[in-house]
Amino acid sequence: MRIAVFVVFMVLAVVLDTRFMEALRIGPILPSLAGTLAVFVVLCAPRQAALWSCFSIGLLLDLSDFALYQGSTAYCLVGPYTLGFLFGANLILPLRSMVFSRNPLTFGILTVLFLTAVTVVYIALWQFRGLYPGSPPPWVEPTVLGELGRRLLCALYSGLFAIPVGWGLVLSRPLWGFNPAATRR
Amino acid sequence: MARVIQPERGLLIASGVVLLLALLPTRWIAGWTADVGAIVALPLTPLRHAASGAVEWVRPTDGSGLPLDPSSVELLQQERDTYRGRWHSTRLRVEQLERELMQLQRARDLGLGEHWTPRTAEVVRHNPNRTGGVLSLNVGSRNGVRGGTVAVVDGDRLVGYIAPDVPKLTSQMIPLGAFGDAASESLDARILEADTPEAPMGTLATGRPIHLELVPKTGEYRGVLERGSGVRPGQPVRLGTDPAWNSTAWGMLIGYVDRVVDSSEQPLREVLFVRLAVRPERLASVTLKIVEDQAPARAAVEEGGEP
Repeated sequence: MRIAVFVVFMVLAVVLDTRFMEALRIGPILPSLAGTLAVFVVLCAPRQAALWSCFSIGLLLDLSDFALYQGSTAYCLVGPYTLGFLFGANLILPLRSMVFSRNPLTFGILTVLFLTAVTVVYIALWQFRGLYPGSPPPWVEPTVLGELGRRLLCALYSGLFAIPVGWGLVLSRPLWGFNPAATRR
Repeated sequence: MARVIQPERGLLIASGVVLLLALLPTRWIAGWTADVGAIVALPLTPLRHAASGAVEWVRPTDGSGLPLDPSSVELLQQERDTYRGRWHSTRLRVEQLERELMQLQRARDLGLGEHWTPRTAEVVRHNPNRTGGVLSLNVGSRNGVRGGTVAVVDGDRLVGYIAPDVPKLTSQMIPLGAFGDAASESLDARILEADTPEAPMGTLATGRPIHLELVPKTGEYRGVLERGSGVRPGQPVRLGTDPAWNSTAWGMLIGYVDRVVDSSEQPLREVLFVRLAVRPERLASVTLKIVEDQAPARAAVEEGGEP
């Protein structure tokens, strides 16, 4: 896998996720491109490269997500997305030998699964941190169950969105320099 | 050549570090992680800016149609400043009304069962030349103010009384301890052990009676007690049933015992000095205790007769 190509796609995905996806908002529901990119890399790249890629995407998302401590001091919590993406990647890796990685529908279904796994880790970690004084979880919804429901809807929306995006990523596959044999390991 | 750190192990270590960071107390990661995030965001900023512009173009927000030419911006700023000024002015007015309400409420709570009406009066002029001089108030006989009407602050701190011959729209208030005022030259007072919420009600029955005399040019009162009276500095002193004052002033706070010294002239006596609780020259408003059909007690005193 060409790292430079991955970095370009990762930056694009994170920038679009953190800024452009606002244009596709349906109420509080937003799609995510980073999840689709992660699924694409997991399906096509060698295991270690796939895990490191997911780690990198999650880390970049964590460093783009600012929260407030005691209502005034900004901070980035490194972990919720990083560990969530790692968990999601480990969930998808055993499945990649059972699916058609060139079928756009595969991206749709696996993206929903992947982002659901990310959501579980993200919410669990933030909910735990909510026990610390002065750092309430950054939920959009008033309750944790409401936030879980919203994020699951986001995952579904992202899955729908992943079908055309996945098709585009499949077309870009020659750029990435994947070794087809590596994904069978 | 064998790698020092295997990729699998490297990922495991990195994940462990991230997990540790994720569980650290927030105060340990607040601040510096935001700086790291800002540094990481630096190369992404132009792209994010472009993406934000694209969002505005694809899906404009409701406010994007506003005209933003310089004249409109200036107009909006003027309106903002105007409303901000009004807001501050109203806030100050609300605070003033709250203070007045609190004073009136406290004055009514500390009433002695008299049928009187509290009324706030603004001090419109202080005597600039001397301490304890006459104060001009912005209420007069048209508001029910009569000669001898008692003025207090904070509900029970005696400030003074209204001079006779009250004009319709203004009045003159003679503060307690005013130099040359016959009524302030001596007071029948009571020394209390301590101030309690019901102190004015109980003052007339409890407390040690004492006759106070004004010490010229000091703004203090002095009184004589038998030695070993046990009076200590800081004890509150309230007006007793002094016939020179309207009954609405009875029980009001005069001041606090400032010091107690042995009398040089009378070996078996000690002298106490009372510091006034209110400095009239600093007052902006007072509460008048207006009594219907008020007897002109002060006028009688001024003329040298008994009230």
